[in-house]
Amino acid sequence: MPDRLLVSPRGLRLLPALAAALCPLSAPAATPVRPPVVSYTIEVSLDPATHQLEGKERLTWRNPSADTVHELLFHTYLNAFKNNRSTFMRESGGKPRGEEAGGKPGDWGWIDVLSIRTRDGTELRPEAAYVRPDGNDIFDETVLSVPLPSPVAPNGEIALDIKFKAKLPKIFARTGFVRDYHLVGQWFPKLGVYEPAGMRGRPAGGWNCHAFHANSEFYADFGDYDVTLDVPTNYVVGATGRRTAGTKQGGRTRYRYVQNDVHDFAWTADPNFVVHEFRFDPVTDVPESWIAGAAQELGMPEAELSLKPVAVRVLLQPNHARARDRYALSARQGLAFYGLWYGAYPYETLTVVDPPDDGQGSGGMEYPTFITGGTFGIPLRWPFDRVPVVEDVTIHEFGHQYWYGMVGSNEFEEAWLDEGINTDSEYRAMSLAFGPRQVNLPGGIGFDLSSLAHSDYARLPNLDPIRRFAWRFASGNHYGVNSYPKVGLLLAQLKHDLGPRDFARAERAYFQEWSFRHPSTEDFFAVFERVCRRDLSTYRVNLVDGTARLDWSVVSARTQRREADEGVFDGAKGRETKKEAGSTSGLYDTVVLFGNLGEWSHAAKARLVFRDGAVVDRDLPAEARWVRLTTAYTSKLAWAAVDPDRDNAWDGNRENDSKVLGTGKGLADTGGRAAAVKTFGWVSYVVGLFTQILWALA
Amino acid sequence: MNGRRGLLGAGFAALSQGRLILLLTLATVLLGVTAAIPLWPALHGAFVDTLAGDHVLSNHPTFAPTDVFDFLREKSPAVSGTFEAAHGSALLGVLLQMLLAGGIVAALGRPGPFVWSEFFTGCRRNLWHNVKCFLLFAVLLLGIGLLAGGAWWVGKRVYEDAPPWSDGWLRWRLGVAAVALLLFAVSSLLYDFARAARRRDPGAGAFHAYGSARRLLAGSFWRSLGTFTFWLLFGGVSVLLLLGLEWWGNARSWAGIALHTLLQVAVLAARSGVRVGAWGSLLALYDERAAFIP
Repeated sequence: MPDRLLVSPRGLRLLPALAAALCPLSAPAATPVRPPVVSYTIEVSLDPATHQLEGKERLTWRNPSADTVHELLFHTYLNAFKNNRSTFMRESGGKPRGEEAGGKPGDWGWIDVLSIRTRDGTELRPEAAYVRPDGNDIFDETVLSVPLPSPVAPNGEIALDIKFKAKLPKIFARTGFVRDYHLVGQWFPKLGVYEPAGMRGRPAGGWNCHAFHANSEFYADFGDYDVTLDVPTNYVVGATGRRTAGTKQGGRTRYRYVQNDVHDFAWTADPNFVVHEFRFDPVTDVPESWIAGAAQELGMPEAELSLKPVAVRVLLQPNHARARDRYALSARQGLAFYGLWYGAYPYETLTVVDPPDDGQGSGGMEYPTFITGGTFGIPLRWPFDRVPVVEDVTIHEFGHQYWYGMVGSNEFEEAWLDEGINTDSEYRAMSLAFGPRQVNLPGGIGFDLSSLAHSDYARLPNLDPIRRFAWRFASGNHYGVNSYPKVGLLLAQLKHDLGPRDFARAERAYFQEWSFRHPSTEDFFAVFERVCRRDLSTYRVNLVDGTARLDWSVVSARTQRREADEGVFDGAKGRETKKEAGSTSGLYDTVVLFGNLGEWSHAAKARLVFRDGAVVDRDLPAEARWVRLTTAYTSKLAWAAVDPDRDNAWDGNRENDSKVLGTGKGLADTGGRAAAVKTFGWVSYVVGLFTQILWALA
Repeated sequence: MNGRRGLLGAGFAALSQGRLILLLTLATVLLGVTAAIPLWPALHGAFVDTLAGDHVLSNHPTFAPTDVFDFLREKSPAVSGTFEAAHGSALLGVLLQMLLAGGIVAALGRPGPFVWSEFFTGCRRNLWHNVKCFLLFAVLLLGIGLLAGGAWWVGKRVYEDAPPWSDGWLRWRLGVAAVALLLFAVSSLLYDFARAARRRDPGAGAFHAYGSARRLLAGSFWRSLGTFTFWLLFGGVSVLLLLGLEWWGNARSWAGIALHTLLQVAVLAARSGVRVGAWGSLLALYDERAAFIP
């Protein structure tokens, strides 16, 4: 063996875990704010022929700050679909989610706020005006400012009666209609968030109410909703919350839904829905191995991981019967995973909506206690049914009940806090549910869904940090990659560096402390630093607010037979002149240069593998820009690699992580040449087949 | 029934021309390998000189997709070059088929042994005729494409408001596909018979040949269509079986890869054989009916 370079600092890694075990896991779990900041009582009727809504809204808002508030700001987001000059349409080019908007005159959507009255009958609508907090799109009418005749005092309250009329757009982005199917989201005048000084780092209190942007989702305050939906009786309805009543009258039915401690309300109506209802039972639906795994990782007794029953309702399209059990199982798995690792799902209901094939623009979306999945005919049939798209989407959207639904981060300004964290949670849930290889195609081809994240990260021009206002990213793709898979890699890196146990404990603590609140990036790191007792500023500064990448590489590697002694040597026997032509010492000198070509400093593992099978591992220190390893050994170097186990998820270029010097001899033989030949043969074969298919035509 | 069995028998008899099938197979392999050559340096650099090849070969659930995507990203010029070369190969393949079809028409299914000199003479003599026939065939295909595309567009308009599970839209699509396939079969038979016209009349022009083909097809439409359908299905099933065998072959060792490659060559050979068999049947039909065509 060569000089023993094996350094495996496992002992050192135990120290943080030990420290974490000694420190308190978290502050007490957060409870919903009582009384809530906002309460909505809404009555709305749907005309399915015109796809219009007519509604009355009684709103109560309690000033959560020490400021005197002179105006209210409302989201009127259906106006994003009013014309092609809105901020949303301009930014998306009229094709958000790939579907074109406004193909026909009846495809546009809008909302008219007809009246806003105070309890004493004062009409505020004439003074209300659309404002543009994020730019100068003069036709954008997605934020309505309502000046108040008398300001709301600190901790004071105001109640308003609002009348509105709205037209749903043809579905192309989250909300709207396709034939009889209606997915009704962002449909009523909804207040923005008044952030008191100090909240999310604000120096002074003020409204946070952005225009509806193409690259963003939503941000609103937690509150209580009491909504009555008036629809034709033949329509099947699903909505946020618990249905408390249903009364029929003259061919129409009024359904009442109630839900506290949520920050939005969405609903759906379609006469074609096939309803599948079941009850999530923690006793029978949670695998024991999951409970044991969570208890072990979190260092908690299993008894403290108890979950609650949930009434689940899946609303299926008639031609998606094959997806029924897949939706149901995914909902169960989501409830189990998120409940065990973060905290029990606190609501009584969950509604899963399956959009029609041509309504996929509303698919893959989350609202409180209400999510939309997404599939169409082909993915439900062999062999495509081996790809768990239905499961992945359902688990991801369910995960938003936690990261968005309960931990109410600002999706406009810090999208990574919900989309990114949820992407990591989704990877973990999918891995638990399907094993390391979630996609299993015929022919032994399979892969881990999360492994695709690195490709997105690596191929994206490195222009943006993770935290940036959603509409200020270089492009929609930059928003997407920075908010979803790149965060998955960041958290994988954190998990490796902190250890899975500390990471899991910190993430659970973050959820527990910030449920029903509005955290910021700083709040996230504060919880992690406290629980793990580590300074994590390098992650926040360089990776979340910066664009630093890590890129350890094998810069060069050479191995050659050591020359025999030659020349004049002074030894114990006196001076000796050596020249032994042709003879050698039997040793090989190996020199490998490792370098960090990235901007971020972080440790990595180096591995040298010799032709006789000997393996040498060494740690490359974080502060080093380069490390040269030199050994003399009786066998040639076969290959050298940095980060051979791919522990550093943040490494931006894996192409340069290894160098193979020789194949075909010894224990350290690699299959690279066979892989190249096989791939070459396969490409030739595909081209041959392609040629023969054209022959059939000719 | 007897006649059809005779046609199919003639087709299977043509499969005894192993060297002809080998020629077609080798031509395909050569075209495929030629197109893949631009990729070799990139494959060597990425797969042989790094550990990526190991990961891909073992299909590691986490490593392999990353390495494949890294390869496609980092070596995109080579990948693009291979795509371009594949298009070139396919075009050459079409030209080669026009050339070889001339020989097949001249030499296949004749009484007595298959004579290579007759085959190559036929290749040379019928090439220009086959090119003209191909251009006419291309016009027919374009017409079918426009017709099918138009019908599809009309269907989309008609069924715009129908739900995705409505039977009407499904039936419309299936109907369009069936009619398009039928028209393709008719055009393909016309094209084959027009090329076969040189078998009896070495000086026949393309338009005249298509006219003869139309009359021949009109006189034996169902037999021709049955023969076409048989070889289409027989070829499809046999190729799919071999494709499946090849797809499921989990080759990691050198021996496994060699076997895998042999299976791939077998797929290409099967496809070539089906082509020769179909020609054997169609030429038998032509020989049987041509004497009665004015």
